[in-house]
Amino acid sequence: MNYLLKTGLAKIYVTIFMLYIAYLLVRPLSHFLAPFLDWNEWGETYYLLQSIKDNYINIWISLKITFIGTFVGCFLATLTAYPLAVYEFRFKITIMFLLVIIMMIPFIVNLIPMFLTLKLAEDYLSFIADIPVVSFFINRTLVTTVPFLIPAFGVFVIKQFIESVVNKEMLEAARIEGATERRIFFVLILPILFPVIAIIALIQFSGIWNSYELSLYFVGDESLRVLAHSVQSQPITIGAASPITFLNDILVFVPILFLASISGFIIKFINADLISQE
Amino acid sequence: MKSFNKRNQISAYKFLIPFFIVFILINLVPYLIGLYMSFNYWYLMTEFKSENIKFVGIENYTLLYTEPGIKQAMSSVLLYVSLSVMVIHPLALFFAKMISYCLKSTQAWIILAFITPYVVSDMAIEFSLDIFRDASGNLKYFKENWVSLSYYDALISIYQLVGFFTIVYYMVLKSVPKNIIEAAQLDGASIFLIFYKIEFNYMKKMIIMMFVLSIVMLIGSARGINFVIDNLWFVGDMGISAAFTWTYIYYLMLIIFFIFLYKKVRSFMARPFSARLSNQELSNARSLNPRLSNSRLSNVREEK
Repeated sequence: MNYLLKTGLAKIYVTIFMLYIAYLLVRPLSHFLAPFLDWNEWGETYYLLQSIKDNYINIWISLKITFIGTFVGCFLATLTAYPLAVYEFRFKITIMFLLVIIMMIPFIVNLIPMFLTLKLAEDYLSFIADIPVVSFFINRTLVTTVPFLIPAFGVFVIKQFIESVVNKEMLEAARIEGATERRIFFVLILPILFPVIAIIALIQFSGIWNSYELSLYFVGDESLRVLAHSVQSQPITIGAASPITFLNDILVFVPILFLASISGFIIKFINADLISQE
Repeated sequence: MKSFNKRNQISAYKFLIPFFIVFILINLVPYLIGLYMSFNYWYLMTEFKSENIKFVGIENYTLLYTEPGIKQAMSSVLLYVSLSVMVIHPLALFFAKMISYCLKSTQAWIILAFITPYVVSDMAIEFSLDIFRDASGNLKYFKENWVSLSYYDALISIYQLVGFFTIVYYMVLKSVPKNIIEAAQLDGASIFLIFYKIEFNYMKKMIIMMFVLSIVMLIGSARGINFVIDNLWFVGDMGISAAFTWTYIYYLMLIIFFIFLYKKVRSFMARPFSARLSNQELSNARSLNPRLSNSRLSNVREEK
């Protein structure tokens, strides 16, 4: 029983998992290998390629947006976590409470009030002057990044990491040498934080890449949809190779590729001793 | 009263400026507009002017509570969340314990294998479950109603979130001090006893936090809430939609208030009776009951 618990079951579970992941990774490529292995004809592969050509703009837009969103979100999270971890100031607990509230309310619940604000701003600001900011947000897919701009869970994780890793005496030394606070943050702190930023980036990336709700409600134009929305809007057909299966494979493939590219940082983060033994 | 370094305070608020801007634009302003809107009627397609907005009081809330469709959807959300939470956390603890026994060289691969389902979208997972569907995409083995669909969604969300929480628990498990566990092993405790008596107690706080986080994540992906928002959107009545958001926030405020109350009461009850007595009364009581002199707090009082 002990032996089974210690090694056997875990190995079986992991091999099944790894096989499934390998299957997910190979699936989009398998459509191109299929004609050589006589699984299907070239015509079907051309038919699938057509779906990429049709949804080229969607794929490109959602890639662009996810990278912008992950970058901005990670940067904002580190900016908010750093003072909470290092400094002592008066409204620290209130800000933590605000972050908890942001974490507690999922963005789907806040979706319609968010739309209302944009709509009202559009009405009033266009009445005052033709300001392109609002129209830029209402009909572009950049809106899909908006609820992911403050990853509240990420702020807490980064705060924990800074508290356990960063040496406060080092900061004092830097201050005595004459470094400004901004310089301390960018030169001393940010390079240490890459492992934890990697895991926040992963959460951000998968969150933005897979969310279709904001695109569904906010983006009117059909050609400006994100990929997840264009997959979601098509009816499911199972069996023969269809464009939607291929788009779905791409939808699965990209985040796993991102995970593979930053896996070194993530493993470094997980193997670090974060929680101090009090 | 704490004393704060002035320079530190100013630099801290400088770092927090972007957070405040984003918080006000994304969260605070929509909540306030939603609160105003929840007491009014406004149809989406008309212009936002005082002629088109009618004050209706709490009619939006009463409509939300009396609508049978919304009631069913919300009960399905409850079923879905409770079901998947009950399965996710025990499973995640079990897997975390298993990973900690594996070799260090294989752990990296295992961790990556556990993270991947979290990264994959739930839509794609649902799509890959094609055993449950026929050629036209309809569900095969069961009827589509709220109960069966919430079981089906729970399956998907369990598959997605178990890996994520496994890794969190694994990281917490690593931080449990080893010397206590070794002492327990020398005394002949089994794995289960060590886990239950030592490791679980160390992880308790983190487990509660993750429990709450998982509930929020599940609510965010629930089919019932998506269904309600979708319907309210296509009806176009913004008042009811804002009322829906605010009922969620009211419930949240209630829960936070009860936690606050519970903490207050507990801290009041935890304070020993001796702390409320004067020195004279305390010495009298001590002479009556020798056990009181051993209590920690009375000793502290003496030192002062």
